[in-house]
Amino acid sequence: MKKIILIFLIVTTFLNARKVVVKVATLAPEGTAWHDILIDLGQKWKEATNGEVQVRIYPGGILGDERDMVRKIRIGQIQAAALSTEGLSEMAPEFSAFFLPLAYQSFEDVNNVLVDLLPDLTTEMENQGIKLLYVSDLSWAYWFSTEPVKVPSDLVDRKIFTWAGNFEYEKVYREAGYTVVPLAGTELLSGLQTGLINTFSTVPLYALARQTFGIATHMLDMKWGVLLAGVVIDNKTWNRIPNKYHAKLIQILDEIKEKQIIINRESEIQAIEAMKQYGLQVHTLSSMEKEQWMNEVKRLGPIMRGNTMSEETFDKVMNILKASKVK
Amino acid sequence: MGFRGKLSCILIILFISGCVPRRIIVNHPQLINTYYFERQITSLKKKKLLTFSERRKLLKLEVEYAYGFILEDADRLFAKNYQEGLVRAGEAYSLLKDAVEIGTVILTDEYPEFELWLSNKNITIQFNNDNIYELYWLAAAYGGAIRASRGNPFELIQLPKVGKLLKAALKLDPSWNRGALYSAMISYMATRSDLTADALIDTVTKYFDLAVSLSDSMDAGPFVSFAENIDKKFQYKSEFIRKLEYVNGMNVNQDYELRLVNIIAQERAKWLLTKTDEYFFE
Repeated sequence: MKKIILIFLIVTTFLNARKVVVKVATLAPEGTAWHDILIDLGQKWKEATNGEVQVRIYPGGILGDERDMVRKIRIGQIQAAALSTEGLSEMAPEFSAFFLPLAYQSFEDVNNVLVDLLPDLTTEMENQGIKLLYVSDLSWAYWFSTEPVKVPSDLVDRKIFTWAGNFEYEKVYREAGYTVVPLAGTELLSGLQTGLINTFSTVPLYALARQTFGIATHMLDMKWGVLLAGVVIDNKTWNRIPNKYHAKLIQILDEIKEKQIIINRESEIQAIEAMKQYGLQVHTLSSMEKEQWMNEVKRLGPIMRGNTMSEETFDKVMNILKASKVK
Repeated sequence: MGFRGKLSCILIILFISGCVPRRIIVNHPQLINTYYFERQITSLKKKKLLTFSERRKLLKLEVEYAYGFILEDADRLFAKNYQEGLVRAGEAYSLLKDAVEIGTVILTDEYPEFELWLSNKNITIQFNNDNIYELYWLAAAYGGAIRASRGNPFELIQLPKVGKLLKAALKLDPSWNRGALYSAMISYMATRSDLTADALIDTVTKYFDLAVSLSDSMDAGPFVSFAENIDKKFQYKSEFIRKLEYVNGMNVNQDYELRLVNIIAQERAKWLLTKTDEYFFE
């Protein structure tokens, strides 16, 4: 009898030891497209590894914001996370190159910079024991406001929302002469209702989900910024997955990434259309107005250079974008 | 009448009278789907002109079927096979969109400015207690369609309508259907993105207490809803287990009026309990 119990214990221990549980955190709420993508990923990884890899998803910010997620990966509490530029730049600060306003006007621009920066960004993460599995554009950010914003001078007397804790950007806007009000994301709608803020830049799906379009009824059709999405996993966990599966798992991720890009781009268009049906007014720019924004960004550049990103990265991005425009 | 026809008649009679054995609903949901909901829905839809009471019945049937059976099935499928889950959610979505249409038409017939009111225009409508039924089922149809659409922006944007409909119904009779409106408010409030964690917990707890009090703890819905929307979200594992185990231990035959919803809620509670390790981070 003792022998049987011993054999049973050895076998179950061995079987359990083979399984790799990957706990993934994300801010994406349950039932949304981004959460669905992670479910799909988990099932495909499980299938591809004959059940050796099991993905557990913690959606909707259950485990805190993206900074908390990064911290939890570092101390081994979770093994992976689906992050936006915010979380990615916590691990590799040069990701903040994608926060440059008006720098990116097409997906090609984003891709050109990404291709160039990616080797360094990946190495930087690898040095911290983190593997970047996936990165792509998520959505464009636009200005939303209670009164139309068409030129930079329209921003001067506005009360602009910034994320509480994002001190670098607060500083940049203040130095540029704007009035910023740092708030938590949950305070965005109440801030608009009480008049504490009246202007903010964000991605359309977020504006829709936060139901801000009933008050901030104006959107400027100008790609102010770009938001990236990425999936990271800690190297220890990745290396525990048998080598023979690695290529297949990456292939699955690439396939999902392709699908995700299409979904993201469609969602953005749909979100703007849906908000327009509910009264959102979308303002387009004349070439003269565009020119004014470009000049404003030139003014902001020196304030951002060395503040929100290193001087080296700033110059590198500018050169890549200049070169791609020449091409 | 062939065997299938007879079986259908028997099941419909049993279902309406509330005498369907629990094991049939739980172990053979397909029988209920095919022989009760699908047949009832199809037969009503075949009619060229529906009476007022038939339209009301169709609205409720579609929401109950889509919510209580198809979306339940879809949730379980998502956990096993994402693609199959999507297909099933799509089926629920079609039915719920149809229910939205029916509910809107019924209320617009009575109040021509109903759609403008619902779209938040400055319009006042004096609803009466007879409208609570439509207001409630239309709110459920909208909520279900949002859930079944898996984040479709055109559906997501409708969310405030759910709140508006439920609040209008609550003004008329908060105790309607033994707290069903408060129970629905638990799920609605949990989707509000403008509330801080504390405000969210306080508000949902208030609706939970009211719903539980009005049903004298006999309705399993508020317990499951609170466990999923608050305990899971804020990682209160022991509370999650406690509420779901309470539901699990309920005698569903004790309250005839709530029997079907309690059977469905109990099955969901059992399923959620099997996912406890997955939901809670340790």
